[in-house]
Amino acid sequence: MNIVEAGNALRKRKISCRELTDECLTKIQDLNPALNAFITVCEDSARKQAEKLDEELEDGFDRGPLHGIPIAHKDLICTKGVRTTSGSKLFSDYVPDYDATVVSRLHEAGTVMLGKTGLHELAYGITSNNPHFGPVRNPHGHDRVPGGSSGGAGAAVACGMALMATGTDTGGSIRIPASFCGVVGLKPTYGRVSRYGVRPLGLSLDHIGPLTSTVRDAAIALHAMAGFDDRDSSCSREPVLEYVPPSPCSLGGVRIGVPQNYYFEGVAGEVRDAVQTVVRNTESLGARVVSVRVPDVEELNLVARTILLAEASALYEPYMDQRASFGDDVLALLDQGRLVPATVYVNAQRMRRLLLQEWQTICSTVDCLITPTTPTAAPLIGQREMEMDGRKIDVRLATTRFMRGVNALGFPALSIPCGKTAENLPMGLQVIGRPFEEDLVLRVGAAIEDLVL
Amino acid sequence: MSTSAIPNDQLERILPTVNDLLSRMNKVFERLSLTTDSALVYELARGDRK
Repeated sequence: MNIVEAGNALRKRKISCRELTDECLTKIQDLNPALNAFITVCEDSARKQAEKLDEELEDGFDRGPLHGIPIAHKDLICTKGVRTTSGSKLFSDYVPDYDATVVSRLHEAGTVMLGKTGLHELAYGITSNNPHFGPVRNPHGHDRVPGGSSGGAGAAVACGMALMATGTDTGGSIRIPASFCGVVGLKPTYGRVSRYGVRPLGLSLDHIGPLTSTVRDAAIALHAMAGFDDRDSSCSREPVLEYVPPSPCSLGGVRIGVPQNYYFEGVAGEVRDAVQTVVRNTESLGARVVSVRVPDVEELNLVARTILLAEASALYEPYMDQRASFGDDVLALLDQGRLVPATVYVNAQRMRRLLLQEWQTICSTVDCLITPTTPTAAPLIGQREMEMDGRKIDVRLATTRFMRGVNALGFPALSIPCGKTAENLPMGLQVIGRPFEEDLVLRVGAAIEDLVL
Repeated sequence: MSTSAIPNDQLERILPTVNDLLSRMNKVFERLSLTTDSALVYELARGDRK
């Protein structure tokens, strides 16, 4: 059941908030021992909250489309009185005394918090193979990674343990698990959703967004999460729009850009064919498909990687005398960042400005771009390299190559499922839009979802 | 704030990666000009900063 369906059932009194919450808790009880999607489950408080929300509905007080919807928060998002580990040994006992802005907004919107989802240590990686809390496993193949860093969120939504989960995305950490787990993941525009109360990784690259089972559910969640917050200096005053796309969804007049360069190179054949088929089919909904050449993506990825290395290491420098508290992969990245000179960081931020101007030129010729989300389906747990066009490449660099740069641009990007491989693993496609045009990105996504389903 | 050194064995492991990144970035920076601003410039004039 998705958020829209659950909302309809709640309002027709076919199910109560408490029953809906119990269904999710039962799934967590049954599936979490194998998947390890949750680090903390808040059974008692979830049931109490659900009962309170049932009483509100009985009294005629309806908080809107998220009233009574069971959700989960990524475990680096602060939740008052509930342990928030960030997937790290350093913070394994940290219990915040306040809620992050997204937590309080989703609470006000009527959600029920089921618990906290697992992640890659400090959100600094793409596998969610966590050395302190154990690996999160992919529901579509328990020997596969769910992606990361929001791997627990992707796994939880994929098998109905939660109807929505919050995620964070610094270099693909919402969109990668969405692609690998076969769910929808939205990285909104930088500044669209407040970062207050969310443990940072890359201050100028961090984004907060929802993972859901449908595009319309993501739109509902974004509406509750978005908006100005004076506790986050990067948060925008741009008005929050009506994001939920109509049904059925026309794409009349929408110019969809399909990159001729980079995004369809070094991609598994199945993924390339699935995305290209979807693109062709959008023309039947009135879209105009336009071939475009995008500016150098490798350059953009290098800039984003350099900025992240420096920003993450700056944040964790105070903890670098506790080396045994970090997993090997995260420690290596933090040490790498300490070797990036300040001059290189500053020049990377200057290149970022230049590249942003070049990408904005593309944005004047098309309304959005469609690309694969990840070049392959989910790799195996522990896999370090993958083969692509006869070449062996690093799994982390391969997996992030279509999304890392988008974080440097700050543009909104949505990952939606676009079919399954011969091995029955999900594949995802990415819709990249112009800043603060999440409404258009979600409309294109919903139209594609209607086509694929 | 800690300024603990990176152990030698770790340095040996990560230096090739870092050196490769820095040399590639130096190539990228050839496109910068004196007037290229930073993405992090504090923009007091923006409506967002009211």
